[in-house]
Amino acid sequence: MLKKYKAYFALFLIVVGSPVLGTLLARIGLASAQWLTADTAIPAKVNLFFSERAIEPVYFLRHAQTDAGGVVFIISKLLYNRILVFISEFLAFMSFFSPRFFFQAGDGTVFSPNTVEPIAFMLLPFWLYGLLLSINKRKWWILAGYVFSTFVAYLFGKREFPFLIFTLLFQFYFIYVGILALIHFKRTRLYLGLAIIYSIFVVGRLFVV
Amino acid sequence: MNNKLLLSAILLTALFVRFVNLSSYPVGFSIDEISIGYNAYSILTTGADEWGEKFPLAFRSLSDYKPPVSVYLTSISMLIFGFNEFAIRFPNAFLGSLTALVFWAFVESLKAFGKKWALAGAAWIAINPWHIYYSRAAFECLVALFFVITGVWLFLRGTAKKSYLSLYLSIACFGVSVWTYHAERVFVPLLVGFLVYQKRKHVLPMFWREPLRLSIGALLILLFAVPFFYLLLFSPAIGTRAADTSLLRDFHLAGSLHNGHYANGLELIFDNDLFLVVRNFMGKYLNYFDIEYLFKNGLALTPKEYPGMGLFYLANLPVLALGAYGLFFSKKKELRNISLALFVLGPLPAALTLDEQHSLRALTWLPFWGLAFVSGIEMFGKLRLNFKKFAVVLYVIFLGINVVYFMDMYFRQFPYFYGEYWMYGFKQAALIGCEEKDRYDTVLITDTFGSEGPLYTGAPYEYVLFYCKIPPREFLANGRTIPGFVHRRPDWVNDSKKNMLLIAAPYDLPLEEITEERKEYINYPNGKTAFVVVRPESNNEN
Repeated sequence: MLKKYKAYFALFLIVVGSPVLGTLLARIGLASAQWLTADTAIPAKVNLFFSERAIEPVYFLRHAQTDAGGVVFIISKLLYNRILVFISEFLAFMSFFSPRFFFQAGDGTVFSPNTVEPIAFMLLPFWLYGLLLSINKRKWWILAGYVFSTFVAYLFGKREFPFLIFTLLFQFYFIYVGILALIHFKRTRLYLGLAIIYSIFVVGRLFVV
Repeated sequence: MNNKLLLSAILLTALFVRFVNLSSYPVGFSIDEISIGYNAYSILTTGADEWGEKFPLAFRSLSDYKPPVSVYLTSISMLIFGFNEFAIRFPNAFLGSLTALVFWAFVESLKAFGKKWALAGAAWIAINPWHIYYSRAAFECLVALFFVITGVWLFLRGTAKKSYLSLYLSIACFGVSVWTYHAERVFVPLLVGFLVYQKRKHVLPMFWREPLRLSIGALLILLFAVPFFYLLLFSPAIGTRAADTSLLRDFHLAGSLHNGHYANGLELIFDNDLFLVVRNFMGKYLNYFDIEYLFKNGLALTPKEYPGMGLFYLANLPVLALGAYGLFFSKKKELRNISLALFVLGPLPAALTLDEQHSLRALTWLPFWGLAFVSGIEMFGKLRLNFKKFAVVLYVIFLGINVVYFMDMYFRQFPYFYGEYWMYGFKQAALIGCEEKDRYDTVLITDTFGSEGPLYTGAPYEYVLFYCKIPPREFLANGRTIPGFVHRRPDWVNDSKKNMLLIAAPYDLPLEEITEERKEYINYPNGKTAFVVVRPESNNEN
């Protein structure tokens, strides 16, 4: 197969195997409106780090079963402080990259109903390989864009596909890279054939279920 | 010589963190631990379990049919240490500590890393919070993991040195692991199948032309497999547990299944039950790749709204990420393939059960992350960076803080929040009942508990059996009842008129009607009342 046909095939599979792409395009007006009407959560996020509400659970642990002034309390003060709030938010941001969200669960909105995965699950291995390959080939700008686009969604406090639309583009890129890298293997081509059938099945579920 | 010293230091560290205050933490003894303990005692003294079955291959216990290995190991432990709580937890703590050693041996056998990096892997296991948590209580999964890692090590060693003894011991270890915990019944056959395929050019020629050695190997496999299939086909021992924890019991999945009744052909094609089950399974499988689960709250030592503890130290996040990448792109094909197999197969058994995330059942995933750590440390060690020493110092400091944080979480916060889930209070109730039983006609210990209401049901009779040291023969002779004890919620109207010692949850008793002299409180570590001991009026006056 010529290289360009492999590329077309990869793009075709991504388009067919990503119901979320279709739902976003079909509801592009609604998706855009969400951007325009959403308040960024930046002030809330900044305030969160310094708010009493965020630090209360931390202080609760600090004081649990200890007397003020003892050695345990001193260690407790070192362990339980605002840094834990930062760490918690950092990990919450990292969870935006969860593969389950993109390849199984979705966001549960009209753009990604619970019954249909946003991107067909069978494309997950290609996504993973494409991501690792991008790291291996030091495509730092791509990776930086991937992280930044996800960070934008995090700043809006919205784990929904209209806000992750740019992240989706990077996900598609990784799948594309993964398919192209593996397509020359015979077994991969068989798997890809099954992936096409599965992708059509997933799209069918969108209309039937 | 230095390596031996370091290895000894690692082993001592592993022993220390696992044995310190072992009988006291986790607080309380879970019903599974007590059941294992009493059945082990029963085996030791009578050769039969608490139901009277001689040397069973599955312990009926609370009708959960526990695999046998942990119980028999606990019997040996009781032979040495006596019939006590330490003896119940000793096998896990000991084998958990030894796991650091066998993991080192496993990494060495891969011949993919330098000696010092294998030691780093052993150290990682020694202080890993996930592994420590399950080493300090009688969890069969941890014992099974020890045998799995040992089995893999012996298999690799056997194929490298063409040692039949190592291969036979490997078969034995894998066989024992399947008889130790349920997750291994899925994990081990898949892993062994992969290993044999991976090493087929070494293993098959070793046996193909050696009929005697092939026969010995086959006999060993049959020794473990035949009883297993016998139990599977002719008893509820294997199927019951599988059915109880199967993902088919998932509430959301069960509600969506059609069970053969489809509205039309389109529904049969696009919404068939097989797809729904597979989809549910994939969701559970991918749940294990959640960063927050791995590094923030996977061990569930505190409720979700509080800072928690993940399966790994946060300081190791960059090391594990770097290491995982290194494994997937390793130029060493065998290392790459074994890592991939452990990575893919690790969460598989847990994903087949109904819980969204279950760190106990996913313990089979630990070896992959151990390899990832070794790989990450080695990769970092080979980097040429100006700030390398500074990074190492920073890492050690951050790791030290993480370790102290985990210790605080485990010894201070965990008992506070979850003491009641470890059946805290039943021991104290049983001890009071045992001590005072001769003064009353009946001792009532409730089976219903929970600080927020009657949310949970326990099996207090197991605690009475253990702490009163009731001889198993006597228990069976009395028709599996304990004379003088009843285990139900109190019926205050009738029970208060009898010469009965009542030990019940506070919401089951009209506490305002009972004078303080008659009441004694058993509190959870967080200060809330677990049980109230109420002595009858006439007895109290005496």
